[in-house]
Amino acid sequence: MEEGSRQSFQPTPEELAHRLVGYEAEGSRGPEALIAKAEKAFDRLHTTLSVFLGSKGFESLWARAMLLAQQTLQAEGLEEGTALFTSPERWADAAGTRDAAQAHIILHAQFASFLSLLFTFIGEEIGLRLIRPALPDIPPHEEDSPTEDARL
Amino acid sequence: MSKKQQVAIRLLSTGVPGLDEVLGGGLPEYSFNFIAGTPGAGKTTLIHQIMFTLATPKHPALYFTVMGEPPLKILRHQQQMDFFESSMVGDSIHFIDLSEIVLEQGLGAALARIVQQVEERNPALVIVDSFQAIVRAATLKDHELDLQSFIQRLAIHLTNWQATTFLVGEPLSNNAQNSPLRTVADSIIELSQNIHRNSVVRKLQVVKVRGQAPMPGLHTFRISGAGLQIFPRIPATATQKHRARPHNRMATGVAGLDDLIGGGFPGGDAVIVSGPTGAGKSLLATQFIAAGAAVGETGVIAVFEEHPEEYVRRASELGIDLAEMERQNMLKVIYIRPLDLSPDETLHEIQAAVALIGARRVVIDSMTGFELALAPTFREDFRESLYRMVVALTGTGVTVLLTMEIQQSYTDLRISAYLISFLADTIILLRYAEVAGELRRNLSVIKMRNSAHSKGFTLYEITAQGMVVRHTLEMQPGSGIGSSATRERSRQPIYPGLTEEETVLLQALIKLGKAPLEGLAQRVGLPDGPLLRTALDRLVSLSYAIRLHDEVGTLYQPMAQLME
Ligand SMILES: Nc1ncnc2c1ncn2[C@@H]1O[C@H](COP(=O)(O)OP(=O)(O)OP(=O)(O)O)[C@@H](O)[C@H]1O
Ligand SMILES: [Mg+2]
Repeated sequence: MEEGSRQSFQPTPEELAHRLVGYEAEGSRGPEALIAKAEKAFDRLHTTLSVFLGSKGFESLWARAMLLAQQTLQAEGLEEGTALFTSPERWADAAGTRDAAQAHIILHAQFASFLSLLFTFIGEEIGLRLIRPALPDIPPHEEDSPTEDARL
Repeated sequence: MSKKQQVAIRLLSTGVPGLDEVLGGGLPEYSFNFIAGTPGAGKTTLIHQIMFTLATPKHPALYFTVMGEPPLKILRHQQQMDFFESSMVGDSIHFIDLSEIVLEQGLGAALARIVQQVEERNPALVIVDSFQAIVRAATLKDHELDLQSFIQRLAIHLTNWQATTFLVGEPLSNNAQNSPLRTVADSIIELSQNIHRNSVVRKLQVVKVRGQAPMPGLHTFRISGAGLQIFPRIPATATQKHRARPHNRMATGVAGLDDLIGGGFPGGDAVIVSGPTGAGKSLLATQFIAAGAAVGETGVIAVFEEHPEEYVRRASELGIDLAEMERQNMLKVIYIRPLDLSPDETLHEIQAAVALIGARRVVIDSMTGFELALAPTFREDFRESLYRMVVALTGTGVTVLLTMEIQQSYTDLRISAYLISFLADTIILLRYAEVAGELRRNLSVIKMRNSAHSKGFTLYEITAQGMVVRHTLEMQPGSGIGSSATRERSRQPIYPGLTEEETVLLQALIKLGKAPLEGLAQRVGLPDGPLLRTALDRLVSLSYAIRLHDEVGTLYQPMAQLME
């Protein structure tokens, strides 16, 4: 792809993770609200990407991303206990053991790790296109146009 | 009865260079197609190339993956190709994985999923890659839906929904399980690859296309960053002999030569200039091109040499500036990269150059070099491909000059005398001969199909101005120069009513005694095609040969004796 289209709007995995499991409002309501939000985001990603990857394909990609996330979290000193966070079924149980700030860091790292792994395989441009249906709250003007307009 | 109204079948342009031609004009809309090929043959790439050409947001492509190459990898690999447009993914192209459904729920569920997606998205194209996985799944389990019914329902449904469909799988020949597909598919395209030492030979064959006539045979193709490019075999037209010939003469650029041949080479002739190394073949070829340029006739030179710069330099020594001619678009020089090219690909390149600048003169220097530049696997195809190209070019009035290295004697020809006779309208032989105790260069016109010509030997020299035919004095054969081989050659045996080619064929048949068509084709070095068959028909109709039918097939037996 030519330079121009790359430079325009391409959020990083971290920015995207932030949109998916944002902290602001939910943080003040404790880890449960945060977890609930993460579960919804996970479900949306799962539904969207399973079409393309198959649900087994999605799950194995997620599992790989969780392993990578744990390695990143070691740097934060959060590695023990993160095993509890590896799948959504366990998030709820794990929530009680963490404060909201910590839960947020862990969840954020997990989603960022997943997106970054996906982008490693297929590039961020296509990756973003594929997950777009799972990102309901991106204002359309922000995401779409600069790229396509520039090309026309 | 009134003339019946026909439904016009729209042909889709695939966007794959050469494929539409091979398909017979394009891909019929709403057709149900099978793309077969061995692993790595290029099936997935071909489909992507077509898909990126045809899909639109309103009528997208649905790409169903079933086991085989995982979807993540397909996207990872295919985005390397030039035709891949990231912006089309998710809008015009949707990837859908069917692996789990096929494995866990069976064919009925897979069909239901395809149908549901098709109804939802209204696609123009539907792809199932690989279909082989579905075939295998069908044999693994006792499904509620058998393969035959699955294919049948899929075909009907997708056609009704106005989708053009591609199923991707293994070659039919390797796989008896694919047989239901054979009958349902409207078209079957087979890709194959052969690895030969350092080169990969890829071939594509259109086994069938319902409702139109594809180009028969195996067509070579190449995969590069631009995707697939197919080099259709140039069809040989049986009407070569009867083509309308221009009556013009093309100045040769060699002083004195035009006088020997009635003013120049007849336009539209295939001319072979043969001779030993250093005789001046390339010189003559270069002068021929320059003479054309001087009168505004564009030319193409295909050089098969290790050092193309040398070629240009040698010409410049004669004051012929090939590079300048190229700049002025009077000339296109094609340097053939050695070893990995198929003859069809090379010939395609030559023809494209001819079309590009509207060339009237083409030089191939040399045929021997051309043949040697080819990978061994391609050599078998060489003669036929060359023959087809020469027929195609001369058929449009282009004059083609081919050089050929030979040793002093005729028997050492790599390319048989028979083929040359069929290929060439005019043959000029350059040789060395001893004249009055001195080794002198001499030239003879040993054949000229469309013109009267000098029959003797003529001395020529190579000067700073190039080749010059100095002596108009002709030496008649038998006057003491020339080997017995050349003398023999210049005395044509006479079989009344036969053309030179038919005579050559008859002589070959006489030497073989009795032979099937294939044996004869092999002997004369010609493809078993309309030309050979027409010539044989003539031999039979003039009672020079008879056709015998026995248990092994048809044989030809000569009814004439060798006359030399
Ligand atoms: N840029 C390129 N230049 C040359 N060859 C390439 C290039 N990219 C891919 N190829 C060749 O294309 C082939 C891959 O084609 P493709 O994946 O379409 O095959 P396939 O028939 O779908 O194989 P499979 O049966 O394994 O799915 C490989 O042989 C590879 O060498
Ligand atoms: Mg493939």
